[in-house]
Amino acid sequence: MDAFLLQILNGLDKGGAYALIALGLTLVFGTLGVVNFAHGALFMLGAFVAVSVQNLLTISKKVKDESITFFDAYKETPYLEIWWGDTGTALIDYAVPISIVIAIPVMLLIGLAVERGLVRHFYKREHADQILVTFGLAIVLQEIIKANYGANPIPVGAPDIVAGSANIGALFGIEGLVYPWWRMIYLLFSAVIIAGVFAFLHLTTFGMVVRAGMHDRETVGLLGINIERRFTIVFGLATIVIGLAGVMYTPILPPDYHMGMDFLVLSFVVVVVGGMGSLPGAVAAGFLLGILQSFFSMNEVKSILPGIDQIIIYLIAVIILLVRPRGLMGKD
Amino acid sequence: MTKSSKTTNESRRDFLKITAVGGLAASAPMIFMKSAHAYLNEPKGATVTLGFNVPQTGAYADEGADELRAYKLAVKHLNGEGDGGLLNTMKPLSLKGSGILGKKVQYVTGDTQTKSDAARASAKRMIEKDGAVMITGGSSSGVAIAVQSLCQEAGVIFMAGLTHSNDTTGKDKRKHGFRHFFNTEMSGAALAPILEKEFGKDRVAYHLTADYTWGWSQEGSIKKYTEALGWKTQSAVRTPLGAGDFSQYITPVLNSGADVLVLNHYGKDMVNSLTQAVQFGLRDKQVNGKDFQIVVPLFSRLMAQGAGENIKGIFGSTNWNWSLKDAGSQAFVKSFGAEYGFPPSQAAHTCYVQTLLYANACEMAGTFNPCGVIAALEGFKFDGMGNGPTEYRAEDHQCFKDVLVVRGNENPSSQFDLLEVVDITPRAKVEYPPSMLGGDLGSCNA
Repeated sequence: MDAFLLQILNGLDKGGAYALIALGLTLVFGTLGVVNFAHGALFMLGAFVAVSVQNLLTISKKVKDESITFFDAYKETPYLEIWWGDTGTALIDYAVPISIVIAIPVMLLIGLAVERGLVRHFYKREHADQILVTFGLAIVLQEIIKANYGANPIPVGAPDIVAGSANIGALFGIEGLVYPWWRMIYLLFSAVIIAGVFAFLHLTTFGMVVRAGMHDRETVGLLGINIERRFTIVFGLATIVIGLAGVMYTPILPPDYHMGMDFLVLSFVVVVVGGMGSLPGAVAAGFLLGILQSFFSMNEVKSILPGIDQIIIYLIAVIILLVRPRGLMGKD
Repeated sequence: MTKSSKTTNESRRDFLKITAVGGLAASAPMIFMKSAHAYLNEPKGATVTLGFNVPQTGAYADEGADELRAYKLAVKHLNGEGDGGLLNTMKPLSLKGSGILGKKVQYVTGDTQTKSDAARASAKRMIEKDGAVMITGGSSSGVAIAVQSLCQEAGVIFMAGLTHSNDTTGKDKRKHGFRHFFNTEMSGAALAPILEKEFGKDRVAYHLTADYTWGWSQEGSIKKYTEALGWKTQSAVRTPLGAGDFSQYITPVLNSGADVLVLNHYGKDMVNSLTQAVQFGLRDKQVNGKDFQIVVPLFSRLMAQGAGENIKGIFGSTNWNWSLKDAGSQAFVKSFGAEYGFPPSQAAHTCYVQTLLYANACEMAGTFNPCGVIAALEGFKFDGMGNGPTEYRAEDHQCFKDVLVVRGNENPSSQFDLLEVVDITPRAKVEYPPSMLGGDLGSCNA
């Protein structure tokens, strides 16, 4: 029972991450018709906003370790701690929540720059051209990060108050059932962001115009609405969503320059399974694949089907595409 | 009749003589030619080219960059530049600081990408196009085994970089391949007494293992030695390389009844699985009336930085650490620190040492011919290189030396002070019979 509950939580948690990443990808494809292979790199950039904020907050006074003579080694104390004591320590501890606030304008600017500077020139080009140019952009972005931050993962912690695990077993009367606070916060965060995006598209005039543009761009344009400008904002919005997903993921997975590529293939599988351009499809596929991946990683399953955990996502993708070639919620 | 017979005999004798003389005459230039071109990429001019095959991209790029720094430093010292580094402490030493056999050392580099096929392709390019007489480097056992096999086929020497799987000098060993780095068998033998002392004999272990040659090798070695202590192995679960999120593999540990988690992961996988294991509260748990423990059998200081605070107090083993105080380690740290401004990693150390050992073997043999170099390296005993008295065992080309057991430092004095050496296990305690790990060296291919 406890193993079952934990795998459900794992699946939801993974699914939340997959859905969040796939949501931005689908939003861009559904509105702009662009297959954005730089999406993973934008996720990575979001994570490195958190790394940069942490680095800024921990700029330190360096006291040289005199016992080391062959090179300079330092004991470092952050200036914030020296100046403000416990308040400074608390600020450093809250690097990730602070990064969320900072990441919104930063990622919006990055998104607008990418869309205006590059992507808009490829709206009417073949998908193959879009894939090539955005993939190239992804490589450039990750090499810039590697040159500045190195190739090794960089630890970014969650605030101490939520760094440990919650005793969720108490809710079900199961002793010893724990789950990390931050993963539950991530799941909640995913749900809020997904709900926010849907609300924005369905409950605002702006969203209504965007949805109309997704269906018939020309007619919306004939009505005198500047749909291109709205699509630019949508690209910025998608970049904020993926950037925030990256910031929030840093305590779970210490970020490195390559993390975007690690998620890229997976996020495309989620989008394809959900149905290209379908936002509900992307969310449903994200959670479905997350839960299935967790269950097929259980020892009981692996003992019967060794290695199934490594292929299950792709196997499910093949089956769904055979049965429903346009994905779970794709339209004919 | 008699005359006729004599004539016939004389003719036959003459024919045999002529054939023998002719054969000798014909083969003489061939023997000369064979001597002149006895082996691939024989250095002809005033220089000799070495091939440094390291991960320059991918997850191990930082470790590869450190290996490359060490190689460049080794070349500098071999050519008589800089402070000489370990040439000042190595014993016995045949090198004179004037290159190798009077030829100035130059190098070419390749990018393994930590992928076997890419590593073989770059090694092949360095051998065929750049004329490298020796290939060295790497940060993965899969890569080392693949490149070692290629070097055997090509007939050049392979001095392995960071490779820890038993198979490199076990079932996949080759006559042309040599490993200075230790292996999982040695890690198990060195760690077990410390684990017993710290955690006792009555423990239940749960292994998470990277699903490739090194992971399997390490899991096998740790199981072997901990079970000999009396520990039980609850489960050993294979995880895909580069899994990223390990939550689905960690949650079954929580209520499995195990009280020790052994992470047979390296690099990014280790950083991720350790970080997540701590998040799931494993280090705060009590199981079977004991504090839950995590063990990381192979530690790398460079990679440990990624795990941050989570590494503190965790036991593992390492080939070398910059904090060692012997003359060889100090000389290397001094040279490296002066050149680059920070301490070398264990990967940098093993790569530097391998380059010097190869060069020294050429000097001892008086030739770059791989067969001569192999003969010089086999059974070579040396000291002053940072690991105490060491021997390249002739039977499997594995270096035997002391092994370090380390623990994540609870109170680091600086940003580099991440590992604390808790024990130096003497060579005698980690040695094993040459036949134990199987394999066949084969013969020299030059």
